[in-house]
Amino acid sequence: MNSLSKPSHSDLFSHLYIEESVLDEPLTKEIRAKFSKSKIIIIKHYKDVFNRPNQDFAVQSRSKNLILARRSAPFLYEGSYYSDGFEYENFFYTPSILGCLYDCEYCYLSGMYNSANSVFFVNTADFFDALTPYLEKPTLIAISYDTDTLAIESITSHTNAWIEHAQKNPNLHLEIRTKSANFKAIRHLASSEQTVLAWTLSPQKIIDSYEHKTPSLQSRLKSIKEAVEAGWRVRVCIDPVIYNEEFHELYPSLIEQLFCTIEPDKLFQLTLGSFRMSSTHLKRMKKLKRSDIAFYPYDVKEGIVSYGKTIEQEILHVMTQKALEYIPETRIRTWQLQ
Amino acid sequence: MLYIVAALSAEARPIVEKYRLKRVHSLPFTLFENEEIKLIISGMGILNAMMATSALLGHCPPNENDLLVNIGICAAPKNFKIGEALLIHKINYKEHSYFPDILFEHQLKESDILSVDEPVENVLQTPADMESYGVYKAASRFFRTHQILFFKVVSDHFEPQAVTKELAQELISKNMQDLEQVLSSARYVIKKGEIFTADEKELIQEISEQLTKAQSDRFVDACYYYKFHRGQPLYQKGTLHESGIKLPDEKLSKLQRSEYLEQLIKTLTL
Ligand code: SF4
Repeated sequence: MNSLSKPSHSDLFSHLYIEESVLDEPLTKEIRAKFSKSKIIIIKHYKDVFNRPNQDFAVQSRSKNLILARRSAPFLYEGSYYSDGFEYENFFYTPSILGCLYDCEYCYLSGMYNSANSVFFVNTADFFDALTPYLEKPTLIAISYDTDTLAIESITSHTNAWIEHAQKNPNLHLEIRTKSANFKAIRHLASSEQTVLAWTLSPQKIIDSYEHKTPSLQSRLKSIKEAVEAGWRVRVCIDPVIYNEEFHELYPSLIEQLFCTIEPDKLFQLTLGSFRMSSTHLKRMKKLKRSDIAFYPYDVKEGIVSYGKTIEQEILHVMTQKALEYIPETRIRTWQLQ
Repeated sequence: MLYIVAALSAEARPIVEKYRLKRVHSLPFTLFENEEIKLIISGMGILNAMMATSALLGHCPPNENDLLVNIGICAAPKNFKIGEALLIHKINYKEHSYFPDILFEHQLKESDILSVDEPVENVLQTPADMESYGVYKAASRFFRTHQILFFKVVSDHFEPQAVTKELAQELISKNMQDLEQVLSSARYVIKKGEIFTADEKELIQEISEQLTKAQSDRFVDACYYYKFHRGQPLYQKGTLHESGIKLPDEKLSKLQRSEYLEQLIKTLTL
């Protein structure tokens, strides 16, 4: 009885949970066809599965499943305090996919959701409709807010749908944040100033330790280079910086590596920021007991944990100085709490 | 520990025999056990299953490395073969559905099951039993969703009168190999290593006793940080892998306690 012989599911999405209401949606059928080996479980409402109590985020992370559902309002949320709204009068994020295929140990999703599975709302047109009243003014939509849309693009075609929608609506601006190396999924689309591809980079050692299932630094850089050369606006985000005794070794050389790969003039922006999180999410992350990041002795201020003023300033100073060797200050954005 | 709930003695017998489980009398249910397994016979029906599962788990509370399996026979429509073993991924009871997570690879058919209050004679669209819901409802208070398994063997095509004790025993016996394979895979998935050794836990406890509750929480967090970050033992000074944490030599004043805590945290997190 003690032998431990079998690994967990190696294939992506051993189980597809599908809401009854979306069984006949064309997107559902397309996705189902891509996962012919997955077991199909019909559900009434995505929350019956996604919000179940007593799920184990850490164990589920090793074999994630997908839930297909129909979203009802709200379709848009106002951009949060933790993120940069880039001074747009209207700044929203869309909860069109919940959960991520990647598994970063510092991700707030692990402190926010009961489940490591992903929910994809297939009624994309309803999201577009909800946005229409705002499109008289320039409006920024972060479409990869609670997910990495490009990581799951081959399954959902969701990023494509949004970029195509933006092409028809000149006031619609998109921020697509990713750690993927999946530029090829949108390469065929015309680049446009309305869309910023925001790539998160970390030193390879940090990727190895904390950003499970994400592509390597090299392959992300390769994808960035292709995007930049194809004329896309690319913002590189070295954010969150994970601080430890190797910070000085790892991070300045990441900036060097970046600008060895990409011509500095072609990079739209560089965002720098150190790890921060709401203390509520951190508390839940601690319960997972799987990462040093959850247990660092952070400073807590107004419900947000961070490395504290001294370390934050050190991080930003070192990184900014290095970046200034390549690009002007006007193209560097920093996130600082204190 | 592996917890097993079976409705009937006949369903349990192959397991009792295979693992040489001994009858014990510590609960008002029929209970068998060895060092690794506790098997309870619940009797038929949702309420019995719920009560027996609660009694078993309340009597011997599980931890995150444990597993519970509800083993038994079920009726099923004709597209299921008699004798076929199923793993259940959705339990329907009245208006509600419950979803045990199956996070390991296996060769069995997966299915929904409908839990009913009375034996069913009219043919239904899915397999049906009289216990799954009761077991799930009680077990989900104690276990994570991936620690609860439902292993059901098809006994009939909604002809309850055709099911005898002998048949139930035979059907479970014939699927013992599949059952073992499933349990082995499930255990592989749930297995979580201990973060601290017994010695480390003792050291953490001793130091925590010198601190206030809030200070102790910060200290314990720093110990976790150290273990995850360094992956090294947390032993006291003077041992092979010293990390610099040690008990104070004398009773500390309030001020000394704060300084002591800051020193510990610095040592563990720098
Ligand atoms: S890529 Fe982003 S959303 Fe996905 S797990 Fe990592 S931090 Fe979370």
